[in-house]
Amino acid sequence: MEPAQYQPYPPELHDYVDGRMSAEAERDFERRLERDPSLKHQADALRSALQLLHDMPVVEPRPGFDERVIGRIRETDLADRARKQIAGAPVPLWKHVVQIGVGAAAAALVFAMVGMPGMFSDTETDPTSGTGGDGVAFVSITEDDLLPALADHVARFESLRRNVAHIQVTDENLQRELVSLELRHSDLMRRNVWLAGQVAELPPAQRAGYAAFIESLDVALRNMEGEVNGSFSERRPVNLASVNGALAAVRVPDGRVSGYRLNAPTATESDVTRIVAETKDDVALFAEVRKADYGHDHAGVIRAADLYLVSFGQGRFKDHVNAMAIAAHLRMAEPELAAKRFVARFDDYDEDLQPGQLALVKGLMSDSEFQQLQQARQDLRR
Amino acid sequence: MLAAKTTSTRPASQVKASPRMDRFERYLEKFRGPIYTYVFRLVRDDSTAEDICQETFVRLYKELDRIRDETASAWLYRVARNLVTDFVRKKKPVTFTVLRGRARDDDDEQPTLQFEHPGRGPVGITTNNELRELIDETLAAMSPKFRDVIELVDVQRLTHDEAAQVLECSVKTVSARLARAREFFTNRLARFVDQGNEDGEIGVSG
Repeated sequence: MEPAQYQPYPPELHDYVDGRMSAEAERDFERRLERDPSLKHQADALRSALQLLHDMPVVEPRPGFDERVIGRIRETDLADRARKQIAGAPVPLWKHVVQIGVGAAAAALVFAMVGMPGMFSDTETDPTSGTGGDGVAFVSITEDDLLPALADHVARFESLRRNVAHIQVTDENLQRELVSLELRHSDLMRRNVWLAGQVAELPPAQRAGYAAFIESLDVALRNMEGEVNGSFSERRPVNLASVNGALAAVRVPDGRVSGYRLNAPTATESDVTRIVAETKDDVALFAEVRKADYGHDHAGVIRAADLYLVSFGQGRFKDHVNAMAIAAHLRMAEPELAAKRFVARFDDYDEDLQPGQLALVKGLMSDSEFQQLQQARQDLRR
Repeated sequence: MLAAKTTSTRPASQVKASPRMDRFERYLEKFRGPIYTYVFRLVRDDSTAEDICQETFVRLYKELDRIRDETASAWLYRVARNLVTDFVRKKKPVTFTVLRGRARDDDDEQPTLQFEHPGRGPVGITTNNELRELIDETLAAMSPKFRDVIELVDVQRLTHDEAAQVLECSVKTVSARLARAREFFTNRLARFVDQGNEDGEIGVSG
């Protein structure tokens, strides 16, 4: 059919193929079809086209979707309960959270959940709206209140920075996936927005250092996000030098927050056994290691790393997960286990390591942790 | 990466059974695939689709007591679509325009579909995958208001009433937009739909 011959479809044709006509109108229309070959052709073409659309395949999410949704519901329920108990609290929020019996060990988690409107947006007036709202009672914030959240934030940032700096794959799509994974699992973008609001409430003398951290982190995260999107749309590799440069420029606060010790996990444990059982994808399992790391769930890091190694003994991230597990042992005050793992997975002597392995181990932990590891290795040799 | 097929794998022991949770799980089972497919087709990124779908179902759980079975489908699609819209606004430029490269912003009240020569379809397309790509490209070439309605009614199989609820417009508007979108689609795929008439072998499933 040439364009000049094109005839728009009569509106009733759609009602006919959809079965939205009365019986009488349908009979009339069918008589028209018998008389008009051109209309018949249009009807057949439309039916065939619709069949193409009806036959489009259903895409299912990754296995375990239901569990992940229900896990989030549990988190939300916990936040709801905590929020109800602290609503209208006249004393500093942090102290009150501890008082209500959630427990000091989980307090950092609850604190973060209670005050994260964008993250746990469960009190919106319009749930069908895409944007979040919040109904948290106003409570004045002090530096003491914010220390756990700030320490968690710094730790997440440090973990992200180290990990991105040690991405060792060459495939550009995988590189992009890994950078994207760090952004997603660190949850820093949403947390940063929330924390910016909290820090703004602090007295000016306390605020400056934290505000500089949050602002410079915001720049770095946006750079990361822009690189992920830009590299995807322009079909080019992620500019890791630019990302790493931006992360290196983040002004990490010192002082009280650097001395604050995080003891409790701040994320729910991942079900790595299920992941292993249901996927052959080493990236998915590596992501579980990363998620546990961001949640400061050191035992979870070790468990996920071991499962990774069982499933992918020669996988692309085997050195990486080993290094993370070693760091996790150190953070659990288990230097001997860290050293034993180092020896078992790498080697006893630095000169026997493959190029990059020691740098990876060193790169994924702080200087003091690395010194601890070296000391533990020496002790082990004696 | 996409899992071809999956089913609920949550052991019953993990969550205490309650009538409310049972009801939620029925919705989850019924709508998991359709909603994920719908979102994935809009954002073209599995992790983003996962996040948006998770959020959609969490909101469903919270609002469960206020939702009737008859309206659950439209409610879910509306929430998912709003979340996608939010995502696209915040993340520009991403997926919609970047991935497909041809989405248009001229979503005004003037008709924006361009009817092309029906015989212009690509030559030499032989596989179902290629045909699917052509279908996706054709849908992506539509302006959003037309693509929305054809995705909901003809891909997701919502009724006109449900689509109107999702899109927050009248049923009449749905019907009018759907007619134009279908004509555009049919003409772009003319080569295949004509072949199908002759051979009786049209299909992109599998």
